[in-house]
Amino acid sequence: MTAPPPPPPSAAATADPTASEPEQVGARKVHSGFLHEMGELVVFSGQAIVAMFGTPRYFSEVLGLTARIVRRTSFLLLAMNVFLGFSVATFGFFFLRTIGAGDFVGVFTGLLTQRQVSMTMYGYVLSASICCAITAELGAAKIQQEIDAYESTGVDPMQLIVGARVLAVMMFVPLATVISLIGQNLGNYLDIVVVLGGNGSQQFLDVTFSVQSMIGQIYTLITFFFMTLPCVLVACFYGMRASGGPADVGRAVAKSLMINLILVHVISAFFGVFFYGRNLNIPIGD
Amino acid sequence: MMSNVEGGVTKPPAGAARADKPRGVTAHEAFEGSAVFASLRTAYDTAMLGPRVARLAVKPPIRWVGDAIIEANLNVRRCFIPLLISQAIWIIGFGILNFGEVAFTLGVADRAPGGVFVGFTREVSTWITMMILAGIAGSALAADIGARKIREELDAMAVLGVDTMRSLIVPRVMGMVYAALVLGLLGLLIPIGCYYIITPAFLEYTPAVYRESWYLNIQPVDLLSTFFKHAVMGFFIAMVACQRGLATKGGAEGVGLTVTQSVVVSFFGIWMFNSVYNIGFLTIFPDLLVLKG
Repeated sequence: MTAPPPPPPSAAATADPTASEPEQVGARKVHSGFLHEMGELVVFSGQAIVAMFGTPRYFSEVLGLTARIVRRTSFLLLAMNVFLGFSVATFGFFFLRTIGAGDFVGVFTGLLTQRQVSMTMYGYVLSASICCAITAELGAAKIQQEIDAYESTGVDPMQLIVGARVLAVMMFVPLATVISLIGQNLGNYLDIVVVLGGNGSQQFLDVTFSVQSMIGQIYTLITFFFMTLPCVLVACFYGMRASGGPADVGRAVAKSLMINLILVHVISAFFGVFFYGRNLNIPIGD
Repeated sequence: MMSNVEGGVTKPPAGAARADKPRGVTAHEAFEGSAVFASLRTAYDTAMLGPRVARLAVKPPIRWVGDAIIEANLNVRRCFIPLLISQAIWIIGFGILNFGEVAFTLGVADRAPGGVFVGFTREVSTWITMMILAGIAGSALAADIGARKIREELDAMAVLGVDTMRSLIVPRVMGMVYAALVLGLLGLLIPIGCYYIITPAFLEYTPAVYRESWYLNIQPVDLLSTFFKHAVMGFFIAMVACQRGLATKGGAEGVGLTVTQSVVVSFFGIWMFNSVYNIGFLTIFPDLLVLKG
């Protein structure tokens, strides 16, 4: 990185330690008070949920945000789900072919699509694309004191900013469910029928849709809802909490992403067990 | 895109977007915010940056080793607890309770550990480890480099005669590759440990059944392929984070946008590479998935 414009080096060198000193102290303090931070997060979530009941008066804002999320995320979600469908189908096909059951790969993909992998992939896309963007924009607005400006003009930022974002992502959830399931099945189909040529089209579709049920799709939708709420609240919390300079915005985004990735795995596994734990819902052995 | 979104915050909601549009957001910038363009652009820039870093890493004055080990240590310590929680909860929820129940119903519960191990080596462990690495270490790297760029530290280093590529980028890239390998190994051990602790009591088999199944199903080619995959993905994550960080513009929103884009592009690239690699690998070695025992 050879940068042609040389700024006065003495100014940069003297400005640098003074700029980085308080950030170091702040980071250390935050690190030591992890439980304190989690407590703040719970309080913030409660406040946000209470304030959300006043959000519908800003419904146009919610619709605008939803439109932006749909435009920005839909294709990404579809493409990632197609890749995930590729991975699952490849593994299932080669795994089952070795025991002579390659014709029944549809059972494998059909079960995994609804029960396990679609919610995990939605969680990845949610935390990476939607929640990171929310934290980044809220953090930048907070640092430039735009959110304080709202408060001074009598607008409740919890209603207008946090509540609107939570509702906007919630409105995206049904569409996200449809996109996820279509993407998964499309990826499975492309991989098994077109790329690997393992099954005939009719055979694969018959088998894979015989194990996917309507109630399973509704369970997927419910899981998506319960995954969205905490992830967006975490993103808003770290965005509204940012202080300091540009480096702290980046740090807030990284931190919210860390919490969100843990939440995604925990919630998807929890609901997988909650809905399908001992009740397999498969026509075998019962 | 980001500044458009951000403009929605600054103004009252009624008609904000329309009034905001002419100010500074060109069509090019709006397109640049989309994931498709970002991935294409990053692919191009990474293609330019990757060989440069690789060449600097092997060219004689090699001074990156110590820094790379420090960076790798930092990355592993940052990622370990989230990796532990995520892998453990995934294997307990899906591997043991759901899949174990299916295998038990089918009467093949003694084959399940081998199947779970093969599945985790090839797919699930790689997803989770790489998502955690890209999400935590990759985003922290992008935020670090982006903040340095914004504060003009990189220019200051260049003025002082320090080569930023050699002193800053190469150690971080190599540290990320090293951390990817270490975390990949841990990511294989965590699910096996959880499975070994919980499943014998849950499905009522003796632990020896599970040990036997693992001895039979761990294969060198599989492990080598997993390590190769992890190394390539770690290199890719670091490339994307460094390239996005070096291309940061603007103030606080710029850094936030950098982190978001680097994470989205890393995730997309990881999935694309993983699915295509697995199709090729399993087509070449179709016998690897034969369950032994």
